[in-house]
Amino acid sequence: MKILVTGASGFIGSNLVSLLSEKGYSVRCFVRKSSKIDLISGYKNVEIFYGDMKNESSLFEATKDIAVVIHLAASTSEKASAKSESHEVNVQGAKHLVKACQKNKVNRLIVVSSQSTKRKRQGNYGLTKKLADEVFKNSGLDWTIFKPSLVYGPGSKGLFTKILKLIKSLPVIFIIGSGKYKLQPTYVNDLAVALVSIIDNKKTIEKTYDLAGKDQVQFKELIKQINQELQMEKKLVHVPFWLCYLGVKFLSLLTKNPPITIDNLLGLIQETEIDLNPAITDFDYSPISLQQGIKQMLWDLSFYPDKKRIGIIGLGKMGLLHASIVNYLPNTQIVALFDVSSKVKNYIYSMNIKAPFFNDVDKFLESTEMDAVFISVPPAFTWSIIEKCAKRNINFFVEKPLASSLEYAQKIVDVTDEKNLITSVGYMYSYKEIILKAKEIIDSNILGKVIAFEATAYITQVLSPKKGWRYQKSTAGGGCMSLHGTHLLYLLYFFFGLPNKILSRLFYPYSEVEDKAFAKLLYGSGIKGKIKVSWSEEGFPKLTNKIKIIGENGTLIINEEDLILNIDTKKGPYNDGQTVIARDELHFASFELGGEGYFTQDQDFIKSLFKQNPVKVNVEDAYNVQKLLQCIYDSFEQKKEITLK
Amino acid sequence: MNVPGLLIGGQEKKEKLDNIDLSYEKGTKDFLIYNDSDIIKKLSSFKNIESYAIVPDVSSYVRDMTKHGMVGMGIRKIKSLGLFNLLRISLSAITKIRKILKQDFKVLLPILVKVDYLELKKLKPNHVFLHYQMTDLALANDNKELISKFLSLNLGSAKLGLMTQNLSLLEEKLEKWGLNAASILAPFNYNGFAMRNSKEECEKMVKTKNKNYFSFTFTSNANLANELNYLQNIGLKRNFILIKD
Repeated sequence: MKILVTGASGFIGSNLVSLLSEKGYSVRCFVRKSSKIDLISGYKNVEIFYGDMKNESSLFEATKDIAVVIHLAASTSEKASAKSESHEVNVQGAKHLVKACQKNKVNRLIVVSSQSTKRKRQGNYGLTKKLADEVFKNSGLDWTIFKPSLVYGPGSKGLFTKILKLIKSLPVIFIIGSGKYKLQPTYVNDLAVALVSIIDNKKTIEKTYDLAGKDQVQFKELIKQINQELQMEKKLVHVPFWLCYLGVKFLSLLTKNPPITIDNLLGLIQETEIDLNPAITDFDYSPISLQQGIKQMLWDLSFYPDKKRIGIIGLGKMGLLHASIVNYLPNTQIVALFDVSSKVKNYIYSMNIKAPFFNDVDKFLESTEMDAVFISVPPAFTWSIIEKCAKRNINFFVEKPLASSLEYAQKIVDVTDEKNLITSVGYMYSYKEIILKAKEIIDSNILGKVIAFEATAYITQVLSPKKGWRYQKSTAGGGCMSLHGTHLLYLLYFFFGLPNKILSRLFYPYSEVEDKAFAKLLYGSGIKGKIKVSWSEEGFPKLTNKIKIIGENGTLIINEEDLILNIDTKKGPYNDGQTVIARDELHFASFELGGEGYFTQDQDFIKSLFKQNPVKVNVEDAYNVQKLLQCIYDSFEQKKEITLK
Repeated sequence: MNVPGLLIGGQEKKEKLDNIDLSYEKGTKDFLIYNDSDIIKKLSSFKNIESYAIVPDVSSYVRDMTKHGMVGMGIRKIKSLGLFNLLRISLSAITKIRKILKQDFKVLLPILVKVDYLELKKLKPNHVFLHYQMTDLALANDNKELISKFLSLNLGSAKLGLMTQNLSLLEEKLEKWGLNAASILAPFNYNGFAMRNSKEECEKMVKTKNKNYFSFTFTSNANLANELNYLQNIGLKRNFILIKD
């Protein structure tokens, strides 16, 4: 299904195009020649079409072979001289678009209008958008109109961002009038999700919906909230509305893009009645809280004044990787380094990771205040370190597996709960886009009911007897299953939850820990699974996970680099037959170090320290993986099927 | 279909060697390799080819890498060289033995690169690129000295370049540090995957900056034509492709 998005390069448009592409839609972006397209290019199945809302023939060409139009394009200028431009783009443009849709038999039209159309006093924008709404309502097309309140979010250049920047830079905070007028801004991703969710929703045809954020707040309170979040104590200075009006009017004469427009100002003081119930009923609209949205914005603008103070425990391969990512992130500072071996100090310093170094963990923890630590040590030592961190209320990221035994994993969960710590565990596969896509396919029932799966994890690592902590039961806790298989166990837990029963066989040709492991899993839902894990498999220079999931409607093969979906009946955006979704067609992080997932994982943990979001994998998830692992070992030792309690 | 340049890596040795034969037969003249004596031997038997190399070698030390990481692996490798081989690399390495033993990676890296170059120089590579794991580690840690040490190495006629997964950041840092790399090897592909910060920004760099940009692209046979069409039109110096299926 091909969708035309007008105004695709703008703030809402770029967020929408990214989501549409991610959901598997083909997108044609209608943009002007002068538009910056860097935010919308590079996505799968997204084409750029240059045109202008004022040009009827360009709209006619753009709507050819299109199933749905999502109309965002608008002129927002409030300059007196721009009145005719606003009319031409917003009203005449609407007429051109309707004609083009009619000629090309495009029936579905989704329009993003504005709350400003409901106000008594309107600027150019509100006035012309109101007229445009009437054009769409009388079009005879299957129209739906959204009237969002002020839209904000990361990347926005709009009013909300300008307010934040002013608060940050000025010595006092100016409040327009009494500041008691209420705001209920819409988070941009909530709007994008709503737009995508109604593409096929017939209930929404010929209806107009209000959209807004979850919380309504007085402007003055909002400012106080931001002040508090940024830990500033700036004085609030009230400025009479008439003075602001004159000032903004004057500014609009001086500059083409004033920081605040008359429409913004009128919007601030004229509250509109917002009813979210129809949106909630018809398409499950569920916006995020304002607090969460503000935190996202502040993060995006790098506005947090304090840097989180991070300690690094364990400076081997993973420790170096985490330390480097923390060093790169703007809101963090490495304040102390720990490793049992003092030898690593020089090479860590020579990598330009500079902080006081300790080889005694107590001295390390006592040395300075820390908001969090990254722990990358053998599983046998995680509990003793976490216990010490918890005593000092230090949040932690810990490399997987969580502990060397279920008993210690339980202790970690208990102490974390008791101290209410923020935790994250290094199951970084949950940050790989291919895995998130697979999860989306499974959860959206594309495969139908899942019947069975086969999962393998192979690497060429142990082809002869080995020495070192990794190959000893006392320090590593286990062998290939513990080191590499836990990634696979986490994925299965992520996809299907915990099984009811497990039967396993382990093999020890080279080490005192297992070199090969097999397990059969049975789930309450009836899913039957088989796992094979080996670090003694030739031909796998790097860890290679593969999962084949068999459902009633087909199969899904999850590789490291692609997904192969084979379905009998078309479902969602997927046609019947084979669809290959390659890794390189999906989203990628803004920075990469050490492989996909590590940067996003560490960034996610740091963000959670700023209370922006919960982490994807916490100690409870890791405990469940540990439980699975323990059952695999128990089943082999007891030579029987184990039932999970 | 013929590829203009072949990126050799990621597969088992036999598969790599077969792939080289097949590509050469089809007309491929540019080969991007890691230090691997079998591959160097194979390529030495071909005529009219141009070789390019990535250092330090990662693939052949993968087991050490798994255990010790790139830095740990490097330290172990140098320690295992012994005095004679260190002398073969350069006399100056001996004078730095104290720093080597103290594991100063800024000293270790040039030696590690020279170890690889002992084999690679048989092919007289045109450009030698620092592996992206090293380059990007230096970028994350704002480690000018590490990059500077690499770029000031003397590897015969080979020009020294940097391989990265974070092209825009690399350019930003090089400018800030006042360093200049003769060539840069980065991901370029039709979908814009891993072209950081964006496909447009990377393409613009190729057009506006007076530098030698090389691409590395992983693709499938099915998408090869699309990729070639894209790569040939953006003005890159050379394109290296690894076909995954």
